[in-house]
Amino acid sequence: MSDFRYLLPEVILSVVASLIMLLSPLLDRKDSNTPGILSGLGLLLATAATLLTWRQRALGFSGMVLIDGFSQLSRLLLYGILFCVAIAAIDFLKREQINFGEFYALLLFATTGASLMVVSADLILTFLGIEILSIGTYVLAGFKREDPRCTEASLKYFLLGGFSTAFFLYGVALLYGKTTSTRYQALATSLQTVPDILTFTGLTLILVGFGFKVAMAPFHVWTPDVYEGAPTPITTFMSTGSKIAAVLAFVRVFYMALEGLNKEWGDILWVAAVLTMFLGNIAALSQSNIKRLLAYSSIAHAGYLLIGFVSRSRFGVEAILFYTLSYALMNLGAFTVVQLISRQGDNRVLLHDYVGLGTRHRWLAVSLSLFLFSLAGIPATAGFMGKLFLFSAAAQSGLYWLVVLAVINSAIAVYYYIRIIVLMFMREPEAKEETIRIPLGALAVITVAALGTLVLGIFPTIFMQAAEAATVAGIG
Amino acid sequence: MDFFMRNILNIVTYFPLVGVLLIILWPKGKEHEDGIRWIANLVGFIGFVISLPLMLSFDNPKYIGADGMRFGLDHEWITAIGARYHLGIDGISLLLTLLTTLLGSIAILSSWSAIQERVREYYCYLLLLQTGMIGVFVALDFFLFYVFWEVMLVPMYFLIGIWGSERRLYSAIKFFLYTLFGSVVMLLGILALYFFQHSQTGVWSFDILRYQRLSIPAELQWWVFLAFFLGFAIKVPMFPFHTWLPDAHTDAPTAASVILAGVLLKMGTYGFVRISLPVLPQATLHFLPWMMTLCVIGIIYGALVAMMQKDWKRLVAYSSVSHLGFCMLGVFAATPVALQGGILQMINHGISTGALFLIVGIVYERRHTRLIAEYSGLSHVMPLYATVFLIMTMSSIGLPALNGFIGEFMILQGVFGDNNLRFWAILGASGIVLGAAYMLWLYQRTMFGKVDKPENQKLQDLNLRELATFVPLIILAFWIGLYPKTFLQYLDRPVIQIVQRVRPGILQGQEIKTTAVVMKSGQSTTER
Repeated sequence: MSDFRYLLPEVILSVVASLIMLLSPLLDRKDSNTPGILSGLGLLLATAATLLTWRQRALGFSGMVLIDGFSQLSRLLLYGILFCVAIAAIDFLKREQINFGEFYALLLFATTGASLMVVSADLILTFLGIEILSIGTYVLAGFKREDPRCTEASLKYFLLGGFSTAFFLYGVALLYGKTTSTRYQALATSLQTVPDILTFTGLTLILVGFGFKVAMAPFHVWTPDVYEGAPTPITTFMSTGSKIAAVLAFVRVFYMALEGLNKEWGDILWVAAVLTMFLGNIAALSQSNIKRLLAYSSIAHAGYLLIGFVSRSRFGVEAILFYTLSYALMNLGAFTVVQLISRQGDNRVLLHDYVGLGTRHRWLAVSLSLFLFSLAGIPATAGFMGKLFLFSAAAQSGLYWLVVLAVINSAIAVYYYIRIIVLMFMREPEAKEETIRIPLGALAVITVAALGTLVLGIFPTIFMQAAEAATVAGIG
Repeated sequence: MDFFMRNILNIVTYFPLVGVLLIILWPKGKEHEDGIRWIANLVGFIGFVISLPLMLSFDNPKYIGADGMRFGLDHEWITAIGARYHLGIDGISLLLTLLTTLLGSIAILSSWSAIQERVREYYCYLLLLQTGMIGVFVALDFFLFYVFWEVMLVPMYFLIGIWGSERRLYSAIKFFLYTLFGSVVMLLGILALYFFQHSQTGVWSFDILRYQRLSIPAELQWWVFLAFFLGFAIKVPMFPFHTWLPDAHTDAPTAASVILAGVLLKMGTYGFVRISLPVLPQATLHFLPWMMTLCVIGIIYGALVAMMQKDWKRLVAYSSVSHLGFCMLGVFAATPVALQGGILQMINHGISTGALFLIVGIVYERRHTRLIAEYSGLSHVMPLYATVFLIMTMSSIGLPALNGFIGEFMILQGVFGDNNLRFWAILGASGIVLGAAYMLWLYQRTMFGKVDKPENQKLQDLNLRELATFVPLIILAFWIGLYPKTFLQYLDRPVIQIVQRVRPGILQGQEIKTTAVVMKSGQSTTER
């Protein structure tokens, strides 16, 4: 029973989520802020609970849960992201008249799943985490029931997602057949030698499962459609929270449990990284819908993240951690701006809708430009530092060609990010547009994301030290 | 005062940001725009004034570091990768920094009436640009250098894209993508050096001075040189990477053109001088014939294309390609005199071409056309303007007693002095003839003859503000032309250091000759 203290944040989150479920029928659906505020409080409490046990290192639930620097930092990251998503969503839901408590409850359940993924030390628990996260997200993706795009996105995500988790589970089963365990530590000790066909297949299937979640090519095809169709706050959540949880669990599984096979997965991921970067960036060049564009951009960024995996070094993991934070900041910021500009009905999402934004809403345009510059990797932004760390980690491991290809990709990517900035600042708006009201929550998220992007870009050491400590604790 | 002098590089670099802050906070509304202009001009001017002590106290032993760099600042920055916040200047960066602060304030002054829309943003970008450019010249950490190098692209991109003329979008994107492509390839080169440095010394560092002491195997030098070459050559721009320049220059607003020609291009040449040559000496020698060939092609091709231009501004832009070919010819020859000439010519080009762009800008503001055919006989209606233009034309084509002559003479003399390079000197010299041809022809077509267009009858001559933008440039043109020692003396020591790295053999025989030739530079080179 006492092991529950290790899962205190997750317990808090699920309790608050259930509470919201219970309360929401009693509340006025039109303009009640209660569910939003409650979910924010829940996340703050969970953060506090994490901080209380900050320095702990413990294996709980007979080895299923591992609390250490890595999982603690990952939790904080996820809660932070979710907090931003939740407060930016409050006004969105009211605007779209879907202000239902279930939204926040599902969001919190999904967070619980994400959180379990990063504290897990057992493939079964990881699987459960993935499922809890996914099921919440499937529903959220179709949250605007009457909107056919939403329903389509939800169904697509559900079918493909179900498929991929099945792959994952099958991989776990095969590894279990080989080693008779699903614990990371037991796996790590038994999987040291050259793998036989059983182990190799198991490894590949698990890779497919994670590949789907992080939008790694060739398992990325769902991303643009789902990102486009889902309500924008959910797109934000999928591109930041759910993706980052997958990346962190990915690190945990591959560096802890499957470390002995790193020659094998390193080679596979090398190819996958190159493919992901090129497919993402090239497809993004011709997009006219900003959500699709950012979806392809997020595929490309998954490719950059995979470079960190391929480096198979501690610095690689530090770089991944740094990159997840910078990636989260710039995407949170960018999608929140998109959410504001999409206006009533959530459908002003064409690049065309950004024409002349620089004259009408200067601060929105300036901050979106900052996020886009950061995504493009222009120095003095977090995105540049993140890429630099990833690329240097790869170079340090002697992967020069991978670095060259990655650099070429960053150069290609600049074009489509810059295109948006051109539209915002260098074209005159054609018609008079009604001004956009910027709600406080969204404004706060954008401001925090913008400041974070700059601070991380100029003083990366602040977070890099934390990443270093977490890596030492988590990977050794 | 001591605090000021110790942190002077920080202050000079970031002072323009104070202006940005003030301008952002300034009250909104059309009637307050003059206030913004005043702030920007004051900040620009003060920025120039506070950069002067760099020169005045340059030899004050208090501020000379152990590495010979002046006003050095060295702090921890990104410990994870060993990047440091390391600033410091030597003679080369001193001159370029001063050029930047001067041209920056002139560019701000020149925009007073030309920019009427989105004034606030305009001056913010100009001042941001200023910080970025100074940063490039004072950074001694390669990583910091790269950050400034890239950051500076952003405001320039906005300046061209928002306030430019007809094809501004095309030009802005072309400029951005071209230079960005070059810089990411350069970043690869930096990383290669970084890892090599670590494998040699076990220390993670981006310190440029440290890199300059490495001995790098020939094959690695070869690759890194090519990577840097792409980054720097696009910026300079050297033939065949120059195609972004005419577009960017033509469509940029006047002030941006001045900065682009005067300072931005110098970042490329500075990169060669500061990094390629001393860090990769063997590769430099290996590629020397290729580089010289590209320079000479650039000189002649740029001049020929300039001659055929119908657009006044485009003509000046192509003349830049030609003149920078000269600079690079001097730099790559890597003989003491040629290198010194090459660096001086960077400054000269900043002065004369900067002024030429201002000159085009003035008639463009009045007539909104840049076609040469639209103007003739302007000397009748704008005598003062014609005089200024004449001086700058002469400076640009290298008339003795003006700055261009000293630079070109030193470059050609230095290149010619080396038996193996003589051939290129002869070819390069033809560029001077061509240069005289297109500049004089331009002058003749626009200034002389009858005033045949009615619109040109009532053109205003220079007003006081416009004249003020030219005065410092004219003074400098004569100063360098008549007494270059003031400036050359700062170049002796760094130039000798670079030559020692690249062609150590050449120094023994040439030392005496150098001092004799360096235009009355007086003191012996070894003494400094």
